[in-house]
Amino acid sequence: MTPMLRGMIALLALLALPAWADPPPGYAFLGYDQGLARARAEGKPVFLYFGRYGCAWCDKTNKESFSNPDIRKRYTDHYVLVYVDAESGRRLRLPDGERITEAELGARFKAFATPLFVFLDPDGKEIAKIPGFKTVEDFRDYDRYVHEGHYKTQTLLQFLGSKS
Amino acid sequence: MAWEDNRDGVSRCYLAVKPARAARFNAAMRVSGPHEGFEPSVAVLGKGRYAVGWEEDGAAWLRVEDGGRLSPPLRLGGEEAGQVNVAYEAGTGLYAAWTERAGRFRQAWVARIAVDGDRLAVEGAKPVEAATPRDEQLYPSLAVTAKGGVTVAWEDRREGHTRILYAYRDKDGGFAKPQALNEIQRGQAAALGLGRGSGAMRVALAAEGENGVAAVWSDKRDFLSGYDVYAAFSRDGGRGFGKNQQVQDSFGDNIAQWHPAIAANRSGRVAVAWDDDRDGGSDIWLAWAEGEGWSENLALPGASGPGAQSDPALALDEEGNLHVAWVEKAGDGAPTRIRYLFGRSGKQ
Repeated sequence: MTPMLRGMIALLALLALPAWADPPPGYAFLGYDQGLARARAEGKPVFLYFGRYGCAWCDKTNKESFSNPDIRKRYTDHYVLVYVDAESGRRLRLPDGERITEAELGARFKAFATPLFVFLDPDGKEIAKIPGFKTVEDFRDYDRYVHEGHYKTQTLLQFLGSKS
Repeated sequence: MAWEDNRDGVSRCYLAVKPARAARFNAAMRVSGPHEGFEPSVAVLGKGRYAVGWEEDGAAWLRVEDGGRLSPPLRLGGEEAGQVNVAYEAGTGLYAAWTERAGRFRQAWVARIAVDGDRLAVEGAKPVEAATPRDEQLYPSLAVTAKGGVTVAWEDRREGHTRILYAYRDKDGGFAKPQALNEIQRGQAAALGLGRGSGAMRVALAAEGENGVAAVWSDKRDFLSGYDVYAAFSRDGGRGFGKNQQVQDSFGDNIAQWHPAIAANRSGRVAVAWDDDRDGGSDIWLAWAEGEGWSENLALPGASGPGAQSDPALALDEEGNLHVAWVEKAGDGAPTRIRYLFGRSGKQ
């Protein structure tokens, strides 16, 4: 095999590497501070996804739920999308100016399990916090709860209970 | 004690010193320069001197404090450097570890630091592996033993998830082949091709006794209950480590532990502290290494109860006294304060 061919194969192998528990493809996830600034400017709620490098349940959620075109459209249209690696040392700036790492943000949100999904209002106030793998139907319910404003009068459990 | 705060609106690194017999710390001294400073690490050099490393403006720095005077800062690494850790042992010397950009990823480096008055110099800086990293190497931690051992442990993502690796520094300054420190439980998810494995982060090493090294880190092998505190010991200066040990007791099993820290002394005493909210709020918890295991967990008096107590740092002096500092927040929106507690050894 020629060195050039070996190099091309190595490059193709590198490009083919799966993104282990990065944000799902096809979504415009932003960093935390950039996302919160945009949410305030646009008056949109935030969908905050805490993932972890190598996280199996994040991988499953990406493959089985976020691959759904309806979920992609709902979440892209209704929210500012923010992704945080809950083990990362990447630094961000909180609205009060404090600089912390993404891992520390995870600690403050008590991101004990990943994935952890948090809905925030445009001012960054927490609306709902949902840990673990969720189905397409679950994500539709969460979207209705936040986007249709049910969170202003009901807890998430009350809303989900009223469905049946 | 070294820490980071933004009292003037900019994140900077500070140092405060408390002589062993003094009741209070001296006034805080700013060690970082004009730009934002992050994640300081401090080592006691003896004779009233301290080495502090930190990250500032995309570079790694170190300086020595001696009787209220600061040496000129020494730049440690290359491009996009930071995550500095320092360790010292009389006779073995002062060492610094940091990460810096190498291609697409960060790479861990270690160097000996020569100190001659306020003149500092980097000696024999080497990456923990000569090859360009295949993924991130993050947050290195050092232990330097009285018998001359130098060990570095770090977070490593080459396997597609974060593992804790360690390497022992040879006499020529090179490093032995990295070994895994955290044990992995392969579950059903891996068999299904989902994800790559459990997480681990923020390893901290401490030299123990004459030639021991103790390690502690956050470990997510039990993914349902969040991070647990795990530890391992080396009895040969850091060349090899024994089995992983869970540090928190069964009362803390079902909740997450955060921010583990470790301290050890020449007598072989080892203590680990962290924060968890098993009692309803974030408190500082402590455990002592005992035989082949760990003591029951103790909610540290003065660092538990109302408000939130987190991010402990601790030290054990040669008399066995425990020194603990932590961040306290009285409530939402309240400013953070750094508190300190002295625990006298029961042996005195």
